[in-house]
Amino acid sequence: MKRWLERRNWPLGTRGATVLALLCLGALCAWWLQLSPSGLLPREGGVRLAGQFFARALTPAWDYETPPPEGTPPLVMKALEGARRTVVFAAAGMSLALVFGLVLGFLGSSAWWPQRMRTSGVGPVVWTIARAIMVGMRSVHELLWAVLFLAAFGLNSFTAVVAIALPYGGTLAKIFSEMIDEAPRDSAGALRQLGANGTQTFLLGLLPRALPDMWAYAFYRFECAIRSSAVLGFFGFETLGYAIKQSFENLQYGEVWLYLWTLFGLVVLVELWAASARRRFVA
Amino acid sequence: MSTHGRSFDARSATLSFADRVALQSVSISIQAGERVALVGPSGAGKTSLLRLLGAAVAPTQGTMLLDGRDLAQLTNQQLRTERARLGFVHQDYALVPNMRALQNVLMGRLGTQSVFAAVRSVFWPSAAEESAVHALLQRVGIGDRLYQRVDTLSGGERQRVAIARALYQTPGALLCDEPVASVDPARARDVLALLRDLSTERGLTLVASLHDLQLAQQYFDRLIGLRHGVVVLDGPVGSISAQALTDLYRMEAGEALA
Repeated sequence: MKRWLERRNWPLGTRGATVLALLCLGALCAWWLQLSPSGLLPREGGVRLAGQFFARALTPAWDYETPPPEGTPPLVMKALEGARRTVVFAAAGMSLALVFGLVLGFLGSSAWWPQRMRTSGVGPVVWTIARAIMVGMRSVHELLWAVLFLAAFGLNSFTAVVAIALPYGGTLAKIFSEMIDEAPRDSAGALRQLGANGTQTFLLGLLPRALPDMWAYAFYRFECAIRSSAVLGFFGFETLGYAIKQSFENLQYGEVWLYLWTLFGLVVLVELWAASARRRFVA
Repeated sequence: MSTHGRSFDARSATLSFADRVALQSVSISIQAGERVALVGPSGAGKTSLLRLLGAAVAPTQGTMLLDGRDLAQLTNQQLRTERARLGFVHQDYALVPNMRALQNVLMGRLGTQSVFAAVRSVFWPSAAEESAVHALLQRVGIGDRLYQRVDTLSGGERQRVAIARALYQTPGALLCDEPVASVDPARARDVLALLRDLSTERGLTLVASLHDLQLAQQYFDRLIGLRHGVVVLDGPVGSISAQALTDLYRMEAGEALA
């Protein structure tokens, strides 16, 4: 069988055939969607609108473009307050997601289960349930979760936090379980050899090997959570997205750009923080 | 700290895996405090024999006795306790690289601790635990590396951390898999002298697999030669003829040609 495969007489190998199939699928999808280059031409007035919008990129507003009601805080303060709320929602969602991710990630990794529980007993049952929950959590996007929870609980902070925590928890769990399963097993084997039990081996021999990668990934997801938290503002939560939506609808592009630059600054800050933390933990 | 050496008894022990036989009807008896070198070409079964002696694997056929107790009769918990009293130094050292030397050595006691006690000890060691580890690292020659992360240490220093971890178990025997395979010749003598001295001062049975026959003869009292999973020679260093030793490796060369 193997020899027959090696002596193939068609021009493409398995990898080549897969790439070709994907290219064909892409072309097919474009045809179904009736994509044509003419779709790239902006609608009438679109160019003007886009021009007006991007023209303000380098000259964001520092004060309200139309006089606000008495007692409104200055625009810059409003942007900073929006940024603070964006981070708070993201951090709360991420904290909850980390709990989900760690618990489900452990239960969904095959390394957690000792050899004898992998083939019989509760191991496979819990593993399958954990995997199913992980898929369920992350197959629904955070914006969709937000829509569902808005209908159920209304516009309260809990809704936004859980909307972020569920899909992020599912994604963290999936990636964490893979990182744990792919971590080198030599130190775990040595601890087994000196008499450590399964839990000790997992916590001290295996988890430390996966932890630097898990940290780095969690930081990356925190950055994503900040973007999600900002976008949730479009539903009425008072994050940066809420302010962006209001100003955009009033065509106050200068204000929009101030908020966008604030968001940009936030992401850069998280990136710097992550980099310094990574140096300390991973080195 | 002094412990009694442990004795090993393999009786017609065979170790086979799905696709190969690693050890074939091996019968050897190692007394407490003996210093034994396992020699033989690559793939002869030296590591498998060490794993058998270390109670890491059970023989597929035959029996393995530790201090006269049949390992097959022990419960899992008892087996853990037995392993906790055998120091094993792996060829690749198998340390946790992103943790400190101190923490790696502290893990030597896991076999006698609860999960809670183990985590407490590794992350919040007591002053007594720290000084015990410091003393061990000093004994193996790297006392100044106590707080250093293992991945910042050299290969030779890592090996010494691994030896200290095994000593922290207060074992009755040291089983070392190729302790000098990745060390330069001058350092190899240092490491073997260290292992020999440790075995003398603590009354440890010492079993190590080696490639270098000269070193084996110089630092050990007894040689066990393996070839294709079979014990082909076994005796005190002085009693084995030079011819028998050359044959141990030459036979392999002849077969490779065939």
